[in-house]
Formats: sequence, structure tokens, C-alpha cells
Amino acid sequence: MPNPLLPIVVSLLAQPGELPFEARLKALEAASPFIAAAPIGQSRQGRVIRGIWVTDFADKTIAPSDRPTLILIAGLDARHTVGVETALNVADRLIADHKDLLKSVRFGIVPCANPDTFARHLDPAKPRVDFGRTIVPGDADGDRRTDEDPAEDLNGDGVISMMRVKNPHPRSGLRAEFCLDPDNSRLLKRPDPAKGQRAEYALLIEGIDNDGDGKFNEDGLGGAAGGGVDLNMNFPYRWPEFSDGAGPYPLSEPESLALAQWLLDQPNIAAIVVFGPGDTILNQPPAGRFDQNGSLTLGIENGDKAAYDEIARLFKEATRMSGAPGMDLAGSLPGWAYSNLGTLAVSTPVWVRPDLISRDTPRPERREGETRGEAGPGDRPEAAPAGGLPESDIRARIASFMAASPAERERMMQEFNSLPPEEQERIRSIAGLAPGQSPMRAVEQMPASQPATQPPAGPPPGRGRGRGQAGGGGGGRPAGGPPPASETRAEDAGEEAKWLAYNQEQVKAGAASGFVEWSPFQHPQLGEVEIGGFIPGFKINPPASELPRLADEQVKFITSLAAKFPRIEAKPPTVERLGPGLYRVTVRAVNEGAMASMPEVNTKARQGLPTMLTLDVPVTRIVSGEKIVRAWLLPASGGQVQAEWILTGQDGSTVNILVNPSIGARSTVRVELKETAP
Amino acid sequence: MKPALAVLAATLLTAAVHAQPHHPAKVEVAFNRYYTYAEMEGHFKAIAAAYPDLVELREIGKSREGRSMWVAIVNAPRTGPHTSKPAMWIDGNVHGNEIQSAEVVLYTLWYLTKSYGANADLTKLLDTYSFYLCPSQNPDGREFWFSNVQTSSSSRSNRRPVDDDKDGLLDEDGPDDLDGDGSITQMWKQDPNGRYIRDRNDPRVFIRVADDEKGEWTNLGSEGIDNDGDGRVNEDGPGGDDMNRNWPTDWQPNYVQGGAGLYPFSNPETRAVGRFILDHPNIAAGQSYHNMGGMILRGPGASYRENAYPGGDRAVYDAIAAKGVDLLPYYRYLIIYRDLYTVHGGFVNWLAEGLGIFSFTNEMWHNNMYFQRDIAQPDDKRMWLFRDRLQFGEVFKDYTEYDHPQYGKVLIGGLNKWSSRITPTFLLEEECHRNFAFTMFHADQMPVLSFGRTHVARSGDLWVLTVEVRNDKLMPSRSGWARSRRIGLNDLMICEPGKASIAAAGTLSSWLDTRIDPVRNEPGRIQVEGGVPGRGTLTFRYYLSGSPGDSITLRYIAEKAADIQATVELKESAAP
Repeated sequence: MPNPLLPIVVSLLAQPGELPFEARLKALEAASPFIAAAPIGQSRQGRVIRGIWVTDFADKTIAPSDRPTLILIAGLDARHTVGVETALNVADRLIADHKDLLKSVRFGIVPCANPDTFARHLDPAKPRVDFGRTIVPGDADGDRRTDEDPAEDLNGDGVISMMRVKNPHPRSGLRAEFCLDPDNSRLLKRPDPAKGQRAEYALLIEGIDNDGDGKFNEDGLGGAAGGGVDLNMNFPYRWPEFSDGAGPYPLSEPESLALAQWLLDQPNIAAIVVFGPGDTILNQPPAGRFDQNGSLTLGIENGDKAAYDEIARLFKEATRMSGAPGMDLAGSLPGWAYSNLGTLAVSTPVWVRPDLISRDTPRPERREGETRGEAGPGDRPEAAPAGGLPESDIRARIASFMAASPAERERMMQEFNSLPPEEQERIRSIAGLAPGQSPMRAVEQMPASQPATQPPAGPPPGRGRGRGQAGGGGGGRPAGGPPPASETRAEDAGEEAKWLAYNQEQVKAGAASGFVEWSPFQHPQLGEVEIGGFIPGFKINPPASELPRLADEQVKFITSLAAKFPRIEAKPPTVERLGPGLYRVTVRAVNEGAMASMPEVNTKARQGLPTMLTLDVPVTRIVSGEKIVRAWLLPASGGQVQAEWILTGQDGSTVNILVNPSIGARSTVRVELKETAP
Repeated sequence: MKPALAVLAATLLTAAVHAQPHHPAKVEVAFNRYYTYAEMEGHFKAIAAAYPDLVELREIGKSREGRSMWVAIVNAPRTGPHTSKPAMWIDGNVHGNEIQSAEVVLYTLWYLTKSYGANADLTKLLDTYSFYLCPSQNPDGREFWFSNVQTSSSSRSNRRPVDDDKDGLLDEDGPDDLDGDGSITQMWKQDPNGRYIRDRNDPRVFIRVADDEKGEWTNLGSEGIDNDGDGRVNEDGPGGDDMNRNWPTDWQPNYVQGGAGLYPFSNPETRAVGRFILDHPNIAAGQSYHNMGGMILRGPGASYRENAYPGGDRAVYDAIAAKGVDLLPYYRYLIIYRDLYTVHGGFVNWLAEGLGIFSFTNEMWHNNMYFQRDIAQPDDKRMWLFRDRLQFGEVFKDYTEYDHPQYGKVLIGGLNKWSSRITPTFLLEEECHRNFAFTMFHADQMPVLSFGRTHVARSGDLWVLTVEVRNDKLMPSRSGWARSRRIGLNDLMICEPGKASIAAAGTLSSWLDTRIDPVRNEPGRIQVEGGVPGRGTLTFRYYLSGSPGDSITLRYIAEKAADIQATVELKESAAP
């Protein structure tokens, strides 16, 4: 079975026994004076999680570790090979084309944060599977058998895809929920009884019920509940406890723990960019909304909106991307990095389906003061009111709400009730509820509202909150957790058709197909079924020919972002003689960069240090003013902190002012106690 | 849980021991004094060595400063390995200054070991359950409190240096013992604009004057100087993280929850304890001792989680705590978020809400215990009476003059680190004992399962086997919280039919029910997500084809109860 994605990674000069990118990293490290190794830690299976510093180590103007730093992380989700590839390509191009920038900026690149699973996907003996999490033995269904019922490649085509079962036998425990899409028999949809459509098909991941418990693929790699831990659900920011894939506790994975600790240890981080299936640049997190404790942001602080708008502007300029799948920030690395590490942090899928690339030349961008509601239809797939979730995310949440266990519903209701009234009404209208109607009551009144005891392809009840794991799609997961794969598929029928159309074009252009045609198969337990569907990873990874373009775009994005990094400079001090041996000294540190010295969130998180101006004399000589003057946030483009001291000292003697910027190199300003010219 | 041997009853006891009112210990420990961490370790090692059959002392990790973290595994091997029984976790001293919370754990180890084979009730308890006793979750904080100058409330945290004043230096300006008395007390300066006067009758007492009165003294805070020369005094003291905010459940960053640490389990101490607990899913009950206030606390730590506690679980908590209020004079049963304050990332919250373990925190010592009478909170005068006449003035350092580098002449003195929070030594043994008794009652509510009524009947060509699984204790074999969050493993009802075969199986809502709720798949291996209710039963019915005399093996397996097994012969029972 041709696999359109494998060639991408195979091109990376693999040596026996190591991952392809490792060879390339080593080659880069050996060949370039601009690269140094930055080991992050070890994976569960003992692989080194590699990182590299990319900067000009020879230039002595600013010490490398004093330079404002951009961190680039890829491969948290091991399905996202395009991220891994592009991260490496970005390193190449930075060295080749941006040597000047490398004198003042440092890049830290972690190309593959989940090497174990990545390695599993490179093993030609193993079937392709929709699985991006860490590999860790588990008992997802709590039945005291470990990983006993994974998904399987039954028809031996090298791909674990989907099974559709027409009129499933009552004994199978499966429930028909779908009908063929009348417009395209490759796709299933939820039937519309008004059009005379009736449910005939059950849809589930390829595999058998290995343990005979009546559930298919409920415990093991690639199954409905997936097993493993989604690294983007494992960080201690609104950690989605008890959700499938969140892990037993935050940072339970060696990979996430190592990354978090490493990031906490690095000085001068100005921004973090994650290459992963979900986007937070075009899908800007809501500003100014907080959790039930009132100070932890659900998205970003109001004061950081301008910076995120600017990032989006730079990103669109570089990529012309107009839409991308969003992601839930709860438990994610970017969510944690922003709220806990106090740094700007975004995620991009790097590549999206071509119809989401704007063909027009970029329009003049919205600037501050304009409302988001004015954005044209091409600007985003769906316009959402300021601070609100996009409609597709809300629909996904409604679906998962309906499929959820009662306890989970209760939790979601709490979340719903904490939303502003206008947002609640918006959700009600999308859900088709009357104004003020309780979603809980509405679900309870629906006839078949009880969660199925044996959901066809979804996770078991109470664990139905897995995100972006099940199913051959591999797209980003909508906020709040999508419904089981089968439902996503059916409700996004329009999306599915677009993917088919895209595939058609690719095939016409000579690429291998990303869709396995449905073909009959005699299932040992279900009888006649059909196996087929999109190849895992197809929807998040482009053909290899796209990689150079994507690297160009991302390099353009991150270098344009790095060019705006804060740059804090001390200005020449002024000295006034107030009387014999008594002076007033004033000094300012000014942010000459186009980004604030730190995001607003760090005035709460307080990672690192504030900008400090220290008058380096014994405190007994200071007549007025704090010896150390601190300021956390210096706004972009001219934001400043001013220190003013009255001190005693001999006329003509000198004192030192120590300038410790919150980001960048320290310096000392020597001041002579002598009236400066006005 | 692995199958345990059948539980032995008190019949193994010799008759003689019942007559003995005092049970000597192989290691005598005095409970009218406090122990440094090294001394505490010494007692644990000595008791473990004296009772090698009952105690395994395990080092679960090292503290930040390299001290060993200990858990004493107390178990009666004759009834099976400790992992085969429901276990109770008992720890203390996560806050380094709350020292008696370690002594009570030592007392637990001492009393349990000396009572095994000597006291019938405790012998039975130890034949049924195992115990994991961790005297101090914060050895460094304890040691720092003992060996350094402190107040009664300092050295609460661990010893991770933290840059409190954000100047790039760590712990560089803490309090200093200027008068060299071994405690950090208060600094007072005579000041014409001061707002305090000294009590005419008792100059030890500084009284705040009314707004329209003239004062004479100003309080300059804790003893100390400006060590780092930045013009501020005591602005960056030692440590640290509040390790009782460093657990995964509802963990929040420092700006939401002070002391939270960098991330859950970011400290070697919390990580070691967490690892041990995660590795022992047989833990069904938990107690984490603190001081002070005389409280029996349960979760949640935050209001928004209260409704998540299932009603059945709350009833268990209420019943256990009600007994505690009786056993512990002056103690009240309280809910952390409602009656104390909001806690994110607390330890018992992790036990209860992260793992579904029935857990309390006892806050030891209440000032009313000074007086042993039901009076209102003692006033200052009565407190001084107590300090003077019961503690002979040892908790107070008289004021002495000191020439302070910044403030000039000041008075230094006041109550020392032993003056509050800590149970006075002459009351320590009693408070340890009462708390120990309460935790033994708590432990005794962990589930114990048995097969109850069993009945075999014929129905046509089939055999109908009906069997009850009963739980004689208050706690269900799976807490409602664990069930609803799918924490841990389902209970399993296994039927091995041998030569016979199972035609159908299911559960009955009661012994009198006549129609089963059928199990569609694997009737020989029924998943029981909710476990066996506290003081309740589950009833299973099997339709079997087989020959008279065929032997059917039944097993019930639970994570938080000892497994049970029974064999039933296919032979008609008498009418029920």
C-alpha cells in the first residue's frame, strides 16, 4: 500500500538504529559553528530528546545566553511529521540566510519532542496508525488487562483505517448511526429523517474485540480510547484531569516533564512557537476571561491581545493561511508556557489544506481599535464574537456534551454557567435551544440521551473526552474535546468532502492517494464489513514537495517575530547637584523593541526577574529612592522605567548603576557626580 | 489485590494477654518530648529492627538536602503480604514547623507494634489491614526548625531557595537571631509616635492604644537586619514551597495558590511520596497530620469541587468524623474550603479527589486543651497564666536591649518558637493517643468482603446459582468518587465453572429480586464498576449447565479490599 507520508521522513538520511532526524542533527552540529547541542532529557524508552541552539556563537557583542530567545518545539504529536521536518529545515535556513539576526537572537529548536512514538511510526513492519501520544502501557477500560484490545490492520494493507458495518447484527452491540452520504458514497453522514434517510451503518476503527468484552479496540494503541498520553494535555495548566489522554497527573510523561523543566531553566525566552496539529494564531485564545478562581486566564490577558494580533498579522503575511483547526489550551504546552512560564506562546499546524490559503495578496490588516466582527469571511473560517469560541468548536462541544456521562455533563454545565450570559445565549442558539433554556434539561428530555453502553467507536462512558486521537483524520482537536471520531466525521460532512476533493487533486498530480477505498472484508466477529477511509496523518501532513515552501514561510514568520523582540537599553543618566556632596541622579531603561519586555501575564506569573536599576553604593549614602528600582513590564516601542535617587558623594567622584534588564544582557553605567548639561 | 490468606481471628491470642492492662514495648519511646529528625529516624529504625516480622522500613526517596524519607510498612505477614490488604496511609509534618504531627505517626508505629498479639482489637485490625506510616514528608523543614532559630510558624516550607524579593539572589535576607537566644522574636522601639504601650500590670504585653490615645512603642517586626544592604529588612528569608500545595489535584500556579511550587510533584519529597502512593493502589484510607486548631478536615479545598463529592462518600466521611469528634475533645469536623480556607493542590485533596481515597487531615492542638474545660477561646490573661504556671515561663524570652545597625536601640524578646501551635510536652502523649485511636477507627472502616448467602436451585436442565458478596464495613470497595471518575480498576466477580458452563449471568438488585440484569459479554468475568457498597451487598446469579457435584469457583477481586474466594458444589440447596 503506497503511503504518501513515509517518503518525507525517509529522506532524512537515516542511519541504522537511530531516528532519521538524529543523523541530520548530528551532521548539523558537526558542520556548523552556529549550532550547539541542547539536550532536553530522555524519553520513556530511553531516547535522547534532542534540542539545538542556533545562534552566532562566534560573535562576542552579546553572549549567546543573553540574547532574546525564540523556542521552537515540534513533534509533541508524533503524527505531525511536517512539524518535525519543518523545524529542521528552519534550522538550516536560519544559518544559511539569517546570519545577521543570529548575532542578536538565539533560537532553541526541539524538533521531535515525542521520539518514541515517532520511531514507532518509522518502523516499516508496523502498520500506519492514527496515534500521536506517548507509548505507555495502560488499562484504559479498567478491566485489569493491559493494552489487550488495540486497533489492528485486519486486511493487511499496512494501514489501520476504519470499518463501516452495514446493519450490524444486534449481537454485535453496535448501533447503526449513519447513512451513506447521498452526494458521495465514500462518506457517511448522520441521517436526516425528514429526507427519508435512515441509519444503516456503524463506524469504528479497524480491529477486532480481542478480549471478548463486547467492545472494539477500547484498550490499546490506536483504539478509541487510545492509550498513551497526549503531551499537549499533560501540562499543568487547567489540566483536564480524568480525561482520556491527560495522563495520571500533570507532567507524568518523561517527555513533558523534561521539556517543562528545561524551559523553566532557560533565561531570556521571548516567545515559544509550537509546530503541532492545532492552531492558536488564527484561532486566537479568548482575551480577558478567567477561570473560577478569577485570575488564571482561559486564553490570554487583555493586555497581551495586541501582541497576539501582531503575531497573527506577521503569520498571515508569511503564510497567507486563512484558517486552521483550533485546539484546546487546557493541559497544552502553549497554554502552560503562556500562563505559567509567562511567555508568548503559540501553536501552528504549519500546513493546511490549500483551500485555507488565501489566494489574494494580503489585505491591510485590522489594527487595534477595529472590532473583530468586521473581519471578512475569508479572514477566518468562521467569525466569532470577541472572546467567544468559533462555532465549529461549540458544535463539537455540544456533541460531546450529548455523548458525555452524567457526571461529565455536570462538569460541562459548570463551565457553561461560568460563561458570560451573551456567550451562553450564543451557544443556546447554535444548539437550537430557547433563550434561557437549560442545556442539561434539554438533553435529559431527549429520547435517546443516555450514553450508549457500548459506543461504536467512541471511548467508553466517562472517558469520552479524548481529543483528536481516534479516527483516521488526525486533524487538530476542537476545543473542549470533540465527540468520538465517528461523530466528528459525520457532522463535518462538508469538511470530509473537501478532503476528498483535495485528495483527488493530489492523485491527479501524481501523488499517492490519501484515502483507502472501502473494500469488503470478512470480519471474524462482525461478518461482512468494509474497510477504508483516510490514511492516518493524511489530513495534517502535506506531500514532501511542499516542505521547502513551508520552511520558507515559517522562517519568514519566526524571523519577522524575532526582529520585534524587546531590546532594553539604558539611556545616559542625568546628574543634578543639589548642594555640596548631594546629588540627584536619574536614569532610564527604555524598551527599543517592538514587543513589550514581557507579556502582561508575567506580571502575575513573575517567572524570571523584573528589569532592575541598582544604585551600587552603600544604602547609607542613599537619601531617597529604593536602592533597587524594579519594573516588570516595559511596553513595546519606548516603554521605560526611570530611577531617581538622591545620594551623597564627593563632587567629581563616580558611582555605578547596574542595569539588569528582564531580557537581554546586563550592563553597568558609570556616573560622574557632576552636573550634566541640561 | 492478590489473594490473601483467610483472615485469622483473635483466637491466636493467648488468654493471658487479656489480663494484662499494660503492654510493654520492645522499644520504649517517651512521648513527653519532641524528637529531631535524626532521633525520629532512630526510633523508626529501632522499632523496625525489634519487630522484623511486622515492620518493613522502606526508604522511599531523599529530601532536597539528602535526608532519607521513610515509610514504615506495618503488616502481619501471617494473613498475607501488605499489598493484598486494604491499607491506610498515615503521614505527618509536611509543614516542617508542625512538629507533633510526626510524633503522632511515631506513636502509631510504637503502639501498633507493641499491641500486636497483646491487644485483641488491634491484633485483629492488623490481621485485616496494613499501614503505611511516613513520619515526615518534610525532613529538611523539620530539621531546620529544630536546629535553627525560628518562630512557631517559620520553616513551614521545604528548603528550596526562592527569590522572594526578585533581586536575583536567593534567601539572602532572612531573620537573624540578634540576641542569641535561639529563637526569632520581635523587635520593639521606643517612639513618641508609636501606637503601642506596655501593659502596666504585665510589661511583657504590648497593647495597641486607641486611636485617640498616645502610644510609646513601635513594632519593627521579626528580629533581623538588612543582610544584603538593599535597605530592606528580612525581605527574602529561607525557602521555599508549601509542599501541601504541590500535588496534582486542582494544582494552580503561585499567583493563584501561594507556595504551589513550579509544578505538581516538583519537589523530591512530594515526588517520592506520590510515587509510593501511586504504586500502592490498595491504599483505601488516608490521614495527613498537621497543626493546629483541633480540626478533622476533609476536602475539597475549593468550593467548586464540593458538589462533585458523591453523596454516598460524604456519608462515609460524616460517619467517621462524627466518631472523631467524640474521641478528640475540642476537635471539630470541618470542610477545608468552607471552614478553613481555599487550598489548591493540597495533599488530602489529591488522595480524596485524585485517587478516590477516604482521607482526612487532623489539625492537632487547640488552645482550649490548656484548660480542659469547655470555655471560650482563652484570653491573654489566661494564656499567660498557663505559660507562667504550667510551662514555667519557658516559652517566653524577656526583652533585652540591643543596638541595631539601622534602628539604633531596640528591645528584642517575646514568645519563642515553642510558645504556640505545638502541643505542650506534658499533653503530647494524650493527644497522640486520641488521634491514633481515631485513625484506627478510620482504618477499621476499610472494606472487608465476604461471600454471604449462597443458594443453588434447579430450573429445568439448568442450575441457578445465586450468591451474595457482602461488605461489613462503612467504606465501599470503590468510592463513589473513584467510580464516577473511573479511577483505578473495576472490581471483578469471577466465576470459574470448571466442568460446568455458564449459560447466562447477571446481577440482582436484591436477594429477593427474581430477574437478572444480564451481563452480555464474559459472564464469568463480571466488571463491577461501583464495587460493593459500604455495609451492603451485591447479588449475582448464574445459570449453569453441568452435572450434580460439579465444583464452581467464585472469586471477587477488588483493588481496595482483600480478594475472596469460595467453592460451590452444584447441589440443590434447601429452600431459602
